[in-house]
Amino acid sequence: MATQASGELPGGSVGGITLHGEACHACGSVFFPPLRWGCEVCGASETDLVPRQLSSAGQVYAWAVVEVHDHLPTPYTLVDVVLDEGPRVRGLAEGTDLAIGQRVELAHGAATDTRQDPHDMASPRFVPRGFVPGGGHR
Amino acid sequence: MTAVLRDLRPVRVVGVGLHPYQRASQTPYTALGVRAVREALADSGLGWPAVQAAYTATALLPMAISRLMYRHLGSTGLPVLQVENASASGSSAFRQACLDVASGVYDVVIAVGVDKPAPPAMPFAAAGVVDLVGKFNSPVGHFALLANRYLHEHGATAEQIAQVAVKNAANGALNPYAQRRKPRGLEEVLASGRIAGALTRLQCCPVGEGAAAAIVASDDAISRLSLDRTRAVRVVASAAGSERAHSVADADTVLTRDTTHRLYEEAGSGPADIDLVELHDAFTVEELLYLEAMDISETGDAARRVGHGDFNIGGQVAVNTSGGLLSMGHPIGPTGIGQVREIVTQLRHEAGDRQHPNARVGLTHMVGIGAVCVMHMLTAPSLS
Repeated sequence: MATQASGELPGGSVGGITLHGEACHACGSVFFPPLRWGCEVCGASETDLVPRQLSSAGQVYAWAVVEVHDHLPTPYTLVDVVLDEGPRVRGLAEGTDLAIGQRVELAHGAATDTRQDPHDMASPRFVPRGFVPGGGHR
Repeated sequence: MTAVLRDLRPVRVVGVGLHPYQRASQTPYTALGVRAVREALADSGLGWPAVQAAYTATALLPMAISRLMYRHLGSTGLPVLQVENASASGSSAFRQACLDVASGVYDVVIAVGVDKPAPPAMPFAAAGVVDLVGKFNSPVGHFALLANRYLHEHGATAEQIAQVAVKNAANGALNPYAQRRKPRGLEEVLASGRIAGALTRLQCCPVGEGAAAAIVASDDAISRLSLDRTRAVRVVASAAGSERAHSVADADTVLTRDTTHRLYEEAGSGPADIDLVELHDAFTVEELLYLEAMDISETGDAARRVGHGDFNIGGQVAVNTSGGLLSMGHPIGPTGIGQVREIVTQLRHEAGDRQHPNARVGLTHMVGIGAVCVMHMLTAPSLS
């Protein structure tokens, strides 16, 4: 079950989120988050690392709902996503019922959980591809 | 020119000691450490002045802890060094002690692990890493993701994963040094409260306080100091490594697989030779992943085999006879040295109620945030 969100999105349209990743000129590897000071695959220096905008669309590799945490409000959902452009990233996901292989992408501030502080509210979460907060699936 | 351990002088563990692992108390770390050291000295028959160098493993205590602890044994002026390598700190300190003796720099070296619970200072923010998950990431979250993937890939069940905790609780109940000493049934493990994904509370290790010590010595020292050669356990191989490029999907198992292969190669032996293993079971699913990475089980088959009893004391390969991190506990700095203590005790056939029959070759394995992995292979006194 995906949580229904309401209100305007602070960061633009759903599906429009791009990740500010990085590519290595020397070996072609693509990263998110950026490494900035050198390529972990080939060791090329920072001068070989260039910004690369990555689509946030990808497939769920694994997911888990964290129910107990010493310092943070729970539950929240962690997800590993293999982006269509290669890198595997870890993020938060909307809802507590995902499936491995499911198509997802990042959306801004989709969470309605009021126990989250505003900073965390604003952090992007993976939602099912085509999910429109407040409006079901497009 | 480079060399591996078995090319150099033989290294033998001549004394081991522990302070019981327990919940955090007001006891200073010095008291914890000194007790483990005195136990190791008594076990070896050595006096403190015979110890030529000390490595102190800690991940959570402040800087410069060594001298303030060792002075209670008599300030002999020996060189001391703190070793921090996350959860593998104890294993790393033990490795340095072994390398010092193997190389001939020293004849008698002690590795001591000691820690008190404290909020760990994670390195990611200091490293300038800005990712999507930030503070929401955690060890249990990480391994819950790995459990989710394991269940998916191998058609295993949450009950099968939980069997690891049942087995290790049974072992821990037999270990007077263990933090968790109650046997637990499968229903109890499953109903102990969900922490993350499939992992319930009793499938997560307790992080308490404690200490562990291991003294290693050369054959010269064993002769010169008239130590008991029949209780000396040889360290035949030592391997350590760190994670390769982060984009590898199963980085945790790849790291253990790479390190294990180096260990087997260094020792000139393989998985069929292994009688018992102490491995990093901070969370139940890890035991399955690492047994498969060590080729002790076929990939995807460890979940079935743990329920079948293959990894029990008396089974094909006894795994975590101490109770493992899950039941003996995971005080961080001591943990890897506590594993050495368990393997040494088993290979001497001094483990009492939890003795694995015919224990001849044992492995220790720790991984830590970073990620790092450190492993050792030890053999019974009768073999070497």
